[in-house]
Amino acid sequence: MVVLKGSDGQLFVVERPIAEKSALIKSMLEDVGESDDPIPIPNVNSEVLKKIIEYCEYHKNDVVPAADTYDDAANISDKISPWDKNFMNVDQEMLFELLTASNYLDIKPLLDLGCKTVANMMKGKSAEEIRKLFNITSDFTPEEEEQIRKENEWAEDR
Amino acid sequence: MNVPQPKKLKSINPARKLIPRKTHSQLLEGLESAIEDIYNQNASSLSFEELYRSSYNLVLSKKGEVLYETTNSKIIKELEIKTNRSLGKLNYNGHDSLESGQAFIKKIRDLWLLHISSMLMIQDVLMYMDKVYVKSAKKLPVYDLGMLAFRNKILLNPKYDLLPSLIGTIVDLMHKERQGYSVDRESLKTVIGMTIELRSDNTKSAQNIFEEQIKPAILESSTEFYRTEFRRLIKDPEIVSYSKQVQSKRKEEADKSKAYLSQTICKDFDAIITQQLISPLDMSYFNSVRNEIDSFLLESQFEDFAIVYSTLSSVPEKEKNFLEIISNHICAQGNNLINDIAQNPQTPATPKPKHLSTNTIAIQWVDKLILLYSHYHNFSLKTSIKSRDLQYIINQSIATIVNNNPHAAEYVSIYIDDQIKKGFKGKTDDESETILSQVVVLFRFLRDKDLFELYLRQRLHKRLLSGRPISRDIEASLISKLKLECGSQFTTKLEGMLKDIQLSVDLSQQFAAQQDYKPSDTQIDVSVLTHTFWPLSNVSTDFLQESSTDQIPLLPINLQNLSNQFSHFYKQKYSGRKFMWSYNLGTAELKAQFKNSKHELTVSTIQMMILMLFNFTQPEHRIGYMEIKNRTGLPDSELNRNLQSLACTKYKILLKTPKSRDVSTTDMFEFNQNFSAPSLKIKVPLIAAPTQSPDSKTIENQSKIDEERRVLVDAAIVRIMKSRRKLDHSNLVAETISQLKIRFMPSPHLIKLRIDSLIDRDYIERSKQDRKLYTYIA
Repeated sequence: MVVLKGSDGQLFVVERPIAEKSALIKSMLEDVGESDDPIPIPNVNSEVLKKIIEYCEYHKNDVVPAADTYDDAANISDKISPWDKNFMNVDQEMLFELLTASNYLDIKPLLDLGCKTVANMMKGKSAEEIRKLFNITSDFTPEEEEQIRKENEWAEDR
Repeated sequence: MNVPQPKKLKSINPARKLIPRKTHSQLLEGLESAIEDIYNQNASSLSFEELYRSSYNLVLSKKGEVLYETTNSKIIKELEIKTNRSLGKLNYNGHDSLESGQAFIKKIRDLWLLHISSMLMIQDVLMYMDKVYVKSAKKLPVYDLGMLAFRNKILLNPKYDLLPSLIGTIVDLMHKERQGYSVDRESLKTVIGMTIELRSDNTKSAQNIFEEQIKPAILESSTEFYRTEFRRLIKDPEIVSYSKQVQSKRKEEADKSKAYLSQTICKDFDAIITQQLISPLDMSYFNSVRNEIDSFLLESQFEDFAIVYSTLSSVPEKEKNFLEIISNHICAQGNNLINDIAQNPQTPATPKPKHLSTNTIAIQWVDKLILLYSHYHNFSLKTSIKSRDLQYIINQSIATIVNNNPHAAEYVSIYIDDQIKKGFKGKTDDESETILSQVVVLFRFLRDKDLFELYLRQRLHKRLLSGRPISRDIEASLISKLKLECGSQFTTKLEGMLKDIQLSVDLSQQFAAQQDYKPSDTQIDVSVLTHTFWPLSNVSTDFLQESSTDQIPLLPINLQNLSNQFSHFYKQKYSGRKFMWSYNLGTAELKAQFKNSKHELTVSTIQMMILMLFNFTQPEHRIGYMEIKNRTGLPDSELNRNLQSLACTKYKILLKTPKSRDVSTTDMFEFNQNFSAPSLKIKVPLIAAPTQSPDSKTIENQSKIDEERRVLVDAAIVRIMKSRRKLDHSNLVAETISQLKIRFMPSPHLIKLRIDSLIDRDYIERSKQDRKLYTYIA
C-alpha cells in the first residue's frame, strides 16, 4: 500500500500497482524504497488526485503499450470508451487540472484521454469559437492571424 | 459535437498556470546541490518529489536547455572531484606489486560504481527533462550524457592518463593470475564491464573501449605468455600429460573469460593456445613420443587417446601427423601378424611348427586381423571422438594390411570355409552373424574382390559336393551380406551354385521315386551343376573333353545303367541341354567286407571304379596298372593319384608291389584282405593332383582371374562407349575404373591394352581429327 498526500494535506491509501500507473511514482518508489510515510504530491489537489485514483483503479488491468509502438489508430479521438467519456464529463477547470496532473505524474493513458477530449471539444470550430470556448485572449495581430489562416487553409474542414 | 456541456455554466477560466514558488535559478541551484549530494552518497536527505518537480517546472517554463547544460557541467565537476580525491592518493604509474595493481583496479571500480549509481538517480530525478526536453531537442538522454562525461573527462582525459595504466594493470593482473596468484576477479569484472559499456568514440559503428584497446593488449601479452609457456611445457616428454596441460590451460582461459572478460575473447584465447602450444609441435617431437602413442594404442587407453586427439585436432596439420602415426602403428601391427603366427603357433601340438599348413596360417591371420580391426575400431567407437578422418585412417590402415598380403583373398575365403565347416558349433545365431559381419568388413577392404569371389566359389564348391550336411541358412546369410556390399552381379554365381544343389536334391528325389529302389540296390544321387557357375578346374574340364572322345570311363555295369537312366530322365525333363558326367567330382559309399572286419568306405567315384574291379575276385588276385587303365578307361593323371590314395596313404585298401610311394605303370595291385581300422566309417582321402601344388594353383587362379578381368574390362568399355559415343582416353579410363572398382582395381595399363584390342576388333576406333578421342562403332 502506498499513501499519497495531495496539496491540501488529504491522504489517499492506494495499492502499489495502482499508484505505479504514474511513471513518476513508480520510479520514485524504486529509488526511495517503500515506506509508510506519505508521498507528497504538492502539485495536485485532493479533488483531482481522487479523480485520478478513480481512473487508475478502473484501468489497473490495462496493458500499457510500449512507448514507441503507439498505434495511431488508438489515438483517433473518436475512440473513447463510454466509461472514459463519462469520466471526462467534468467542468473545464477539472479537465485542465486533470491534464496538467497527468502530465506531471506521467500517466500517459490519462494524458491521452484528456487530450482527446479537448480535441473533440475543438473539432469543427473556428479559431474564434475556440478562443471563446476556452476563454483565450488572442495575442496575434490581425496580420499574423491572416498569415496563419492562409498557411493552414488546406487543413480546414470545408 | 462532443463538447461536454456542464449544466451549471461556470465562468470559463483559463487553465490555472503553475507559477513556481521558487525562481528558476533557485531551482537550478537546488538541483545542483542535489547532484552533489548524490555523488557524496548523501541522497537519503533529498526529496525525490521536490527535485522532480523542480525539473518539471524548469522544463515547463522552457528552461530545459539551461537545466541540461547545468546538469552536464555539474556531473563533470563532481566526477573530477571524486577522481582527484581517489586517485590522487595512489601512485598508479608503477604496478610492480600485485597489491598496488589490485588497489588501482579497485579505485577505478569504486569510481565507476559511484558514477553509475549516481547517474541512475539523476536520470530518475530528471525523468521529465529526458521525456520532454531531450526528446524535442534531440539530445542525448542524461544517462548517456553521464557515460560520455566519464569517458571524455576521466578515462580518456590526458590529465589523468588513466587508460594506459588501466590496460597495463589488467594485463599485469592477468599475468599474475596465470602464474598462480589469486586476483580480485570481481573488481576486474566491473572494470572490464565499464570498458565494454563505453564506446571509443561517438560514431555508432565504434567499438567499445574494451574491444578496441584492451583486448589487443591482453591478447598480445597472452601470446607472449604462451610462447614462454611452450618452452616450459615442451620439456614434458609425454604427449598425454602435455595434452592434459594444454586442455587445462584452455579450460582456465575459458573460465577466466567467463568470469571477468567478454565471451568473445574465449575464442581468441583458444586460438592463441592452439597457435602457441599445438602448432609448434614438429615432426621430431612426434617421433619422440611415438613409443608412448604406440603403447596407449596397444593398451586401449581410450581416455589418453581421446585427450591427445582432441588436443591435436585443433590444428589440421597436427591431426594429420597424429593420424599418420596411428596409421603407421596399425600397419606395423599388421606386419607383425604373419611373423607372430610363424613364431608362436597357437596350436603347440603341431609337430612341425615351422611348417604350418596354409589353412592354419590363414585362419590365424584372419582371426588376428579381425581382432586388430575391432581393437582400433574401438578407438572411434568408445571415445567421444566422432571424426571421420579417424575412421578413415583406421580403415585405410587395415585395408593396407589386407592388401599387402598377396594371399589375403585366399585367406579370408579359407577362414570363411573353416567357420562354416565348423558349423558355428556352440555358437548362437547372433554370434555366427557377428562373425560373418566381421568377415564382410574385411571383405570390404579387399582390393581384388573378384579373386576373392573365385576362391569363395572354389571353397563353396568343395563344401557343397563333399557330401556333408550343408547349413543353407549360413551360406545364404553370407551371400546376402556380400550382395549388400557389392551388388547382385557379384553374387550371381554363388547363388547359382546354391540353387543348383537345391534343384539337384529335388531332381534326385524325383528320380529315386521313379526308380523305386529296394534297400539292397545301388543308388545314385546326382548333382547337376551349371557349368558357368562352378569353378571347375582345368583338370576336370580337360577330363570332360577327354571323356567325350571314344575313351569313355567305364562304370560298373549296374551304375552304368543307372547313370544312363538318369541321363535319359534329365534330358526328358530339360530338352536342349548339354549334359555331361564329371566322375572326378563325385563320391561313393561302399560296404566292404575284409577278413576280420566290415567297413563303410567313403571314396571318390574313381576310387570306387577301381575298387569294383576287385569285387568278387579271388583273394590275392593281382591286377596290373595297365589292366586297370584299360578296364576303367581313366586317363593316367586321374588313375595315378586315385591308385596312390588307395595304396600309399594311411588306409591301405590296396596292396601294391613293389612297395613304394609312387605309382608306376608296371605296378601290380591286390585287395588288402587284412585291412582293419578302428572306426566303422572310413573316408579315404584323395591325394591332390600332382600339378595342383599351392603355387601353381595360385597362378592358375590368377590366370583365370586375369581372363575374367579382360572380359569385364571389355564389357565396361563397350558399355561406356555405347552410351557416350565419343570419349577421350583419360575420361574413358576413369569411367572404366569407377564402374569396376567394386570388384577390382583395373590398372590403366590393362585398360589401355583392352582398348587396343577393341580397336582391333572394330568395336571402337580412334577419331581421325583427334587421336585421343575414341568413337563407338555401331
